[in-house]
Amino acid sequence: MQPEVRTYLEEVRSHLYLRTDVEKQLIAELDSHLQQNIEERLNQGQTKDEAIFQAIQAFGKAEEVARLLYEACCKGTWTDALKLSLPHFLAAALFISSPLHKAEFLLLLYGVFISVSFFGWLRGKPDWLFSWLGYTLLPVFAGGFLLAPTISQALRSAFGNGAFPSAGLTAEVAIYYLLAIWLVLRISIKVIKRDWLLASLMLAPLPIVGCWMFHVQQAGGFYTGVEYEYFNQPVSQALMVLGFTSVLFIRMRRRVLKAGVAITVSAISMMGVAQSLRGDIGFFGLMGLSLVSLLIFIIPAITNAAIGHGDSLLDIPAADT
Amino acid sequence: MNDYSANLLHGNTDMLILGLIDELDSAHGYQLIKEMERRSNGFFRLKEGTLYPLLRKLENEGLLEGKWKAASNGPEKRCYLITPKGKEILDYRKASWRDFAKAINMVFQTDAV
Repeated sequence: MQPEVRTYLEEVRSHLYLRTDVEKQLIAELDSHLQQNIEERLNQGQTKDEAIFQAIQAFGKAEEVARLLYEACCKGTWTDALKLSLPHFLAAALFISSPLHKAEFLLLLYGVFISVSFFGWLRGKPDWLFSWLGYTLLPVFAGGFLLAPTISQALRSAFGNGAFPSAGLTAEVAIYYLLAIWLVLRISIKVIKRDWLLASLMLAPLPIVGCWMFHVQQAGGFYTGVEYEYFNQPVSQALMVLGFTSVLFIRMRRRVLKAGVAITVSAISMMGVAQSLRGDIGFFGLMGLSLVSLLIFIIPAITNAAIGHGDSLLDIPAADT
Repeated sequence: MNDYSANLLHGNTDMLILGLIDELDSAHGYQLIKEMERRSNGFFRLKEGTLYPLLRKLENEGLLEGKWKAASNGPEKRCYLITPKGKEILDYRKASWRDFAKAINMVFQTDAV
């Protein structure tokens, strides 16, 4: 493949954000077209450089071609929409389920989240996988959150009266945090390489559930046996809103609209939860939460711009279909 | 092609693509562009990069089926075939186009008289 064609196709691919197998086929098809055009121009007597330049020119701007290809291929079916939104609805149901069976429901649900995520990961990482993956990562965050008071207490006693926590406990907590950060970063980076917008959607339930955990902790903690029904309702509603947003997201073709809807709804859901749990959160509270919501989208976008799409597809032959 | 013709083409490109593939039995992207240009004496010149999104859209709608085929010389090519659903849509759109063109011609003939 000529270096100019490679550069052009890499540029197209960097704006595609589709499944790897679909991208492979598209890039191979565009390459085949360009090679035929170059060959015909060479047969007409053009020089090699001229033939390559004009074949690429005739194809159009790489970014525009990628945008049109993305819009032609990104729209999921209603079944995909259901698969993408289902984990949000299941998690919403968990929050308003009967306190008597909540533990069993939680365990069952987590088993389903892990199984579906594993299955989707092995089956070519379709778009619907990422909402399931977000809930699979949730307990890792929750663990870190629940350990935070223990750490803060240990630090307070260490600096207050010189009573250092045991080395065993310190090592266990440190290992947990290191493993949790490694796991979340590794999975997030893999998803960001595929599509930063999907990574943001994957992470969207975390601040909502984080907000809920913070308020439960403030109200007495998780081990008091008290059911915080008043706290559960708004979280359930926010997760349902995320579910409906996922349907919109997968049915829309224009990427800029997808991003706009996802950012707006995530920010409003989080502010709604905070407002319901805390009462009036004030102007600065609203601004702070808006910033957190924006960061969930900005950080993956910046990371994607920095690390790109990952490995080149141009040396791999397209899968036969 | 002027702006008016470009607008007319814009709404009918998918019909032209379906029609060409139907007549050729199976065709790849480059062949479609060349064939359309040849048959229209250079009147229809599709921007090459816009053809593949259109082919993918028609494929996702179930009107076309794409298959990689080995070529005797050169790289593999992705060839497109029309599906029964595509044929049905094509027949309907061709009939609508003929009725539309006939009505326009009748209006112009009346004008001339």
